[in-house]
Amino acid sequence: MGATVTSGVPGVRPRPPVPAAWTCVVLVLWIMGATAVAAQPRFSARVDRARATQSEPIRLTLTLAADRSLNHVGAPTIDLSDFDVFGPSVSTRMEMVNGRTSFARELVYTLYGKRIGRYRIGPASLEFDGKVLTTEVVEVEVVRSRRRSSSSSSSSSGGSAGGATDGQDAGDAGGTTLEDVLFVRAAADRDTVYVGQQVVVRFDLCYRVTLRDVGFQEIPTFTGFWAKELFVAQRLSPQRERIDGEDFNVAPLRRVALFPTHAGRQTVEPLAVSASIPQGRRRGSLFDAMSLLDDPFFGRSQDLILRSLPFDLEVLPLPEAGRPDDFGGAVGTFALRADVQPRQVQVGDPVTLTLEVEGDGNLQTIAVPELDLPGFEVYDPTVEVQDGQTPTGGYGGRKTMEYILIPESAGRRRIPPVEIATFDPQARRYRTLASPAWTVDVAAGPGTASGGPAFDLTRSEIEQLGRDIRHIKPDVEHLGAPTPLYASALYWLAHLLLPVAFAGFVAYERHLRRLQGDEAYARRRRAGGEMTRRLRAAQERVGTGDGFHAALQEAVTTYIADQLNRPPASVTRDACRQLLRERGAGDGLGDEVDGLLERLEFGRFAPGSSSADERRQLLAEGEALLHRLREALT
Amino acid sequence: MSRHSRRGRAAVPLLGVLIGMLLAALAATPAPAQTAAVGLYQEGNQRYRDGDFSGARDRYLAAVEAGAEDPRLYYNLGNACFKTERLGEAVVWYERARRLAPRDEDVQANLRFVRRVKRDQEAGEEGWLQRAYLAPTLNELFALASGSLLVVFAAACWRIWRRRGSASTALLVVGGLTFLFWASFAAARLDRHLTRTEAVVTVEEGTARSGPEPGQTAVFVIHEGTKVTVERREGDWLLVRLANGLGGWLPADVVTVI
Repeated sequence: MGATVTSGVPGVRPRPPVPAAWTCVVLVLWIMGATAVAAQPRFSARVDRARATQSEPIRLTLTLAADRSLNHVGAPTIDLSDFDVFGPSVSTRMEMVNGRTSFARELVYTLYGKRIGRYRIGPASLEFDGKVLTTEVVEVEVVRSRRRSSSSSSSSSGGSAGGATDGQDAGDAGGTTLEDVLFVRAAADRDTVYVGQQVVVRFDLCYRVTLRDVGFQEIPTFTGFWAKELFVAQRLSPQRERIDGEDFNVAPLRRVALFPTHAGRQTVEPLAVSASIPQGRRRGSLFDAMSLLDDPFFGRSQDLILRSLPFDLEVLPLPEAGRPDDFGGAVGTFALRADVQPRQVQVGDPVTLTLEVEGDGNLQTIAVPELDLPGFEVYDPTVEVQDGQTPTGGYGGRKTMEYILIPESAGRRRIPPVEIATFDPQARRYRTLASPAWTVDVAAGPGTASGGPAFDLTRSEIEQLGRDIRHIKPDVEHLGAPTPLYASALYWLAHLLLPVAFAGFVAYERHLRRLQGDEAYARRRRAGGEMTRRLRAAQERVGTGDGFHAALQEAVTTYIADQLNRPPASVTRDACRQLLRERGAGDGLGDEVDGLLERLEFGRFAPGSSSADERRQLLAEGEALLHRLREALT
Repeated sequence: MSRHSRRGRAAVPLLGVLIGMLLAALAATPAPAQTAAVGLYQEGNQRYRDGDFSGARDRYLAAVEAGAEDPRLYYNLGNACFKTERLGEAVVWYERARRLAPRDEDVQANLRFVRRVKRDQEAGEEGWLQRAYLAPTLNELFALASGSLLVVFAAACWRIWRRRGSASTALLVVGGLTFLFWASFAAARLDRHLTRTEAVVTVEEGTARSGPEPGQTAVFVIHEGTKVTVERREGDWLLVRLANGLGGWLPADVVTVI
């Protein structure tokens, strides 16, 4: 059978479609006058190699030959699930030999073994002319590639594995296998870890040939681990490294921090990378004539799939001895920083407690401590995680927890140390990170009861158990409601008296005003009082007789002068009679006044002529006369 | 002696007489201490405390019979009625207590409580305006009206005495307006007190009809504890109206007038 395209490097598949190549195929077959085609349709399968490593392509060709046109044939059915499959590329050809025309149709699949082992390919089946044609079964073996030691690699301290093609395939590069020039290396920084401990796995592409179109084909799922990607290559950035005495370009592909979730042997799955190697020109080959086509655009290349080797990690369980009760699974090297601010507040003002855990390890496993602080209302903390690659090349960062505490009462409050339990894999023992204790001075705020001892106020809502009417009123000394005012006569009487009192007030006010402005009225109002005063003076003198007559005389004349608004000196005996007559008091009263005044004058000018009894008689007469005068003049 | 001090000496006793007369009228002329009623009240309290609510109710009722009229007595009687499952009667006594002491917290609380446990849902709680309207007692309103009238007269006297003065004029105007307010408030409340008849259903259930006859159409069914306004009486029938405006004729023995 004529191979369609050959290649100097094993594991090459043609890049379809290259029209020039197919033209050649037709030509070659024509010249060779090749295969006689049977009258019966035939369907066959073959592979170009029966043994290959995972990185080497196996080309499977399915051929359908018949004596009539094959343009309308459906696709064959074949199970290739054990392989990564490229293709198929399809070609048809037609031959005329001795007047007989034969047709052939070829489908070429490029296969890469996914796992090590022996596999049976086929049978493939195809429906043609109402009949089902099947191929024979082809056996292939996918073998482990020669393990490449990476002990010379300085970066590798633990389990590592390289993958490449094996050397048993006869190459024509002078004994050099593909594995010698190209492989993916997987390495972990340690091979024994604790559950939850960080292990960093790196995948590097090591190569000594020119590569193109490198891409990730299959990313491991890391079953059994909590994984955090630390680095994913966007392009190859190789560094020179000497491996087994040979210089390689080593380009990091991926770096992953893995945290085993349970104990036992855990396998790190391989990483698969696709790449292609550009094909160099081959002297003397048929293609030299077509060298015009051998440029980067039309250039031929060899596509490959490279897999790292799987490897195992020994995962140890965390020791039971000395495990703190509040251990939440944090494994790693962590440091705790904590602070409380402000430390002098008023009741109701917030206090912030900040916990900051920093270090290498899985920050998600650091438990958020529950604070039970008597005297404070504690709100759920805000948690912030800043993670990424640490300076040591692993995964880590900082987890910040901020609690808001509201002091509920005044006093000096102590915040006890906050503790976070961790496991230190280096020291192989548990460690408890503890903050210092703090003291917060809480002052009574406005509106809060100040002073007094600070009580521990752990309160709960008071629950009402039942409802009832309120209790009866206590015993009393007296019973009785006030009388309704609207039914009280005294109440309404008081209101009647109000205007009366007001009228009285107005009259009184008028009187006072008149006293001020009307001299005659004022004298008249005063006359009675003056008279009484003078009569009292006369009475005091009755006994001795000294000045009695003058006093009584003055009482009478002054009273008449006041009542009639005359100067007192003008009221003589004659004037008296005259004035009284003018006021219509009658002559009798005038005569009486005249008589009394005459006797008083006599007594005045003849002292000692009268006895006390006579004077008393005189006083009584004077009083009676004045009484009659008051009646006559007012 | 100066003119003002002499005149002042005369004005003080005059005002004193006025104020004294009003105070005398306002001072509750307490009903003669009814020793018998007080004794019955204390006895009722003791029985109530002992849990003998029925006995307590009898004593309180006897005290009321003896002529005692006191919000505390009515309140305690309401409690005793409630405890002996006389819901309607309890409302009657609470309402009577509330008329005498409208701002008593206990009375209001128990009325609210009873309203919540009785069967009929009454149309809403009283609004703040209604509560403010009923908050002062009649006596307080009359006293306020009289007090402001006294202020009016005093301001008038002051005005006359000083001959002129804007302060006295202002006092006169403000006093006059205040008097008008309190006087009309008191008048409105007195009118309500004298004309409005309220009653409470004191039997378990009563059927209101469209007319004062047992054969008339039933308009609604009313349950114990519900308060109604009595509009008219015809024989043994009362025309009552509910707070929501619904009206009907009820047999007089269904309700007790507050």
